Amino acid sequence: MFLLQANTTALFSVGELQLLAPELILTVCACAVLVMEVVLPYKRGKLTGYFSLIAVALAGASLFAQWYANSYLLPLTGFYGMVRIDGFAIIFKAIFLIAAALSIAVSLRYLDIEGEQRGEFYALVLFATVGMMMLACGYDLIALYISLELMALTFYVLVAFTKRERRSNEAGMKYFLLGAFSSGILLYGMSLLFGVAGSTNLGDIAHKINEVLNAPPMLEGAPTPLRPMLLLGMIALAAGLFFKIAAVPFHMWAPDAYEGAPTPVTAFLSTGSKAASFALYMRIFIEALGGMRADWAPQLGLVAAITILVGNWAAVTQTNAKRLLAYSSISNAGYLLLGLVAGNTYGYVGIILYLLVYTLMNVGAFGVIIALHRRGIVGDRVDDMTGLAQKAPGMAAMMAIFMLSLGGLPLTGGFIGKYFLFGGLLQRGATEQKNWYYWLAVWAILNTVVSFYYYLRFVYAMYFREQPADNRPLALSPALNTALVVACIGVVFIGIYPQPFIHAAQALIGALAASGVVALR
Amino acid sequence: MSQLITPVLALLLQAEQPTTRGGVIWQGIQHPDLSKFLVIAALLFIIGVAGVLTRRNIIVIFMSIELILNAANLNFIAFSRYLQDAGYPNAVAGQVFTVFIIVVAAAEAAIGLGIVIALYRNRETIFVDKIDLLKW
Amino acid sequence: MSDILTFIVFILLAGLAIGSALAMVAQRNPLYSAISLIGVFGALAGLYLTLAAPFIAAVQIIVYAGAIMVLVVFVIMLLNVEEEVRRPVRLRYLVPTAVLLAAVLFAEAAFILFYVNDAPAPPSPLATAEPSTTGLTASIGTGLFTTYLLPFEITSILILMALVGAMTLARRTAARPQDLVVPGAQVLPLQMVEPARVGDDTPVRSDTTAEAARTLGLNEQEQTRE
Repeated sequence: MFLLQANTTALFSVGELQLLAPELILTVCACAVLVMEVVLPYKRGKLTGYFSLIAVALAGASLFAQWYANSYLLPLTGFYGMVRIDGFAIIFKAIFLIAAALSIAVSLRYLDIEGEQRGEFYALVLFATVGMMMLACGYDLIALYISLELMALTFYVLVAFTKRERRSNEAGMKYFLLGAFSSGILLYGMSLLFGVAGSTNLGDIAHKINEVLNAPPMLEGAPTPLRPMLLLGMIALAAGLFFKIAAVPFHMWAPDAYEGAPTPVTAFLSTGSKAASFALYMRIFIEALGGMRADWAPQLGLVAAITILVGNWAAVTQTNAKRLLAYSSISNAGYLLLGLVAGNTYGYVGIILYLLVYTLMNVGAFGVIIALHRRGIVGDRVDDMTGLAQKAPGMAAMMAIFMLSLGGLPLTGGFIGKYFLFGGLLQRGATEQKNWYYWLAVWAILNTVVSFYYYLRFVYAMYFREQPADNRPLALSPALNTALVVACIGVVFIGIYPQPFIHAAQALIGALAASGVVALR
Repeated sequence: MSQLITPVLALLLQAEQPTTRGGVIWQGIQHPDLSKFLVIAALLFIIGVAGVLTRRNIIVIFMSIELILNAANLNFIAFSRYLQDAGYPNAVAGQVFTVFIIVVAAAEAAIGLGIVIALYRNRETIFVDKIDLLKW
Repeated sequence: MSDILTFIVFILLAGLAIGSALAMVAQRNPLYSAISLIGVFGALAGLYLTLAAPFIAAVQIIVYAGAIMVLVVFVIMLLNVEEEVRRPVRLRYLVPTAVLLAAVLFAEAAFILFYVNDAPAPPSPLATAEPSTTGLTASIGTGLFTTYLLPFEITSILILMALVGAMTLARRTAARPQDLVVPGAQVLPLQMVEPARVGDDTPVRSDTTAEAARTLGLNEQEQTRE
């Protein structure tokens, strides 16, 4: 601490460092993983994987301690307002850690088979997790931008990680170009927002925006002077973020990146990255631009409706399982946007619960696909599932549960998430007396029915087709099995007994909903 | 959307008052004020977007993305100058943001060109329309 | 008089920036594009100087035009890229539409941005006579190490990550060893263990790497790649 003091005023205190304890643990462990990679021989490469699992567990423990110690003191701020630890940050960080742990667990055997068992992979996963976690607790455009880029750049590398695979190269290239492009658009929006607000702090921006919106017009009938620029900035921000969450006008990168990336990376990309992008979306659009809800809610509703339609209908014709799940992930981005359109406690609880369940079931589904990937067998077509019920009944049963949960069958976690998302929409429709909220909910439910068709294709292939795709045994490992069982239990548990999760989500996200309501006036 | 169109109408209506608005564009060009920098930035942004959408060479697409980042940088610097003159305390944020953008651009260049090299080793091409293993 | 001079400088720099940007997008040879982009960076550095931001102007030249563009040019030379062949435009009738839409978009954006001048809240710029200090190195440094300390630290992680990532991607590795034994416990089909039993996929369990290697008939040296 001595060195950090300049002119007898400390730049920051130890207490502030404690706010970032989980991130610090992950960063230190990631550096340790890099050292281990050099020291350990190739055969022992897996140890780095187990070590990073321990790192994630440690970070989770410190996160829990943070929540336990401060559950009444939240929110805490530090680092000159750069960081804000509130319930929102804590619950999102928990989701990222779960996604990271499951993704590491399913990747151990996969990397062996690919012959790419290198410690950098785990270090990169940990760095990406740090970026996501900073994204959840950043409260300043600069901190948010740097964290976003930390996450995004790491994912460009991870998607191209199996560099001897042409598909991985191509996916990395496409993801890189479109991701950097979207970052540029996002940045342009941020610059306009900075120009209007004169500050990069989200709280200051919200304050200033309310001022701008309530300023008297210079001319009868004309909008307040800064408002058009604010709208331009908002549109650029929304476009950049639509890219990141793969919503429809900007979804084209997702199927390619998901199909070409190594499957564990696809699992992490579709859960962790999506959840982090939603955290960013909520931070910016609810906390900073909450006053402009009347402007962005209809636009968002339209995007959500189209996203749900395109994602679900494009998935129907896919034969590649990873590509199919990519379109399913696009449609799920649409469902999650409904929670933002609703913009009430119901909707936010829905987003949190659905992201949690989505993380479990999606990593689970990709885990089963990973088990089908053996040396010389790609195993990522829907047809490769054929006869899985005879060969590995347990695996097939878990896959069926994941698929039914993705579809949103009652008694699975997916149903609970969708219930809250649609319920929030109906509630908002009732309070605002606007019909389009109801129509949007009906539209989403109709498309959910379509989604059952392609999710059940997996079940059909596994249970009702005679000839198994191949007789070679599955590529299983203790970590993969554990991850799948944990994910499956989680999905079923949340589906049957969701109350503790609902209460926790309500307790942690309640402040956000309140702030949204205040800004709504 | 109507919010974007009404200012146009408002200006057209006001064009009859030559004292304040008649030469608004000329004034904007004449004085070293904010707008003309923003307009240059907007032009750079649009050229960059056009480059990303029309070019096929990966490296040129990458350079077009750099153009977009520079458009944002110009915005930040112009706003920073303007906000300081207007007495905002946080005006330096624009300059600091620009420093960070340049750092990120450098990191992005390293990674992007790494991917290009890995791709070129396997495919011997850097044209996006020849990269067709995955449906584009 | 100084107004006119400032205006001329602005027009020159802005014209250079826009012209170079157009040239960058229009050039078919990527090397010419890169050089045009350096022109954009130089012109923008000049604009930053007129905006009283000397530090950013210097960084723009040193990092952007220096480091990043050298990297880009290096890769272009390394890959020995040929000129891009103009592809016949399939949707020819869409071109005027695209140009029109771009023009409308730009006009709208320009209008919105000009409209900012009417904002009443900040007083007219240049009205205050005192010179701008935000662009000076001292104020940026102070900002970086006080208010923006945390993003600065995250940047260090970002750069470490970029270093590791770029090395991972660009490092040349041996071709995938096809007969390498996957380390750890595994289940192998019988036909891999005994070549005589072609087509027999009865699973054979092996608990350690060494055991798998033995069943596959490999000796210990062949197992490892490194």
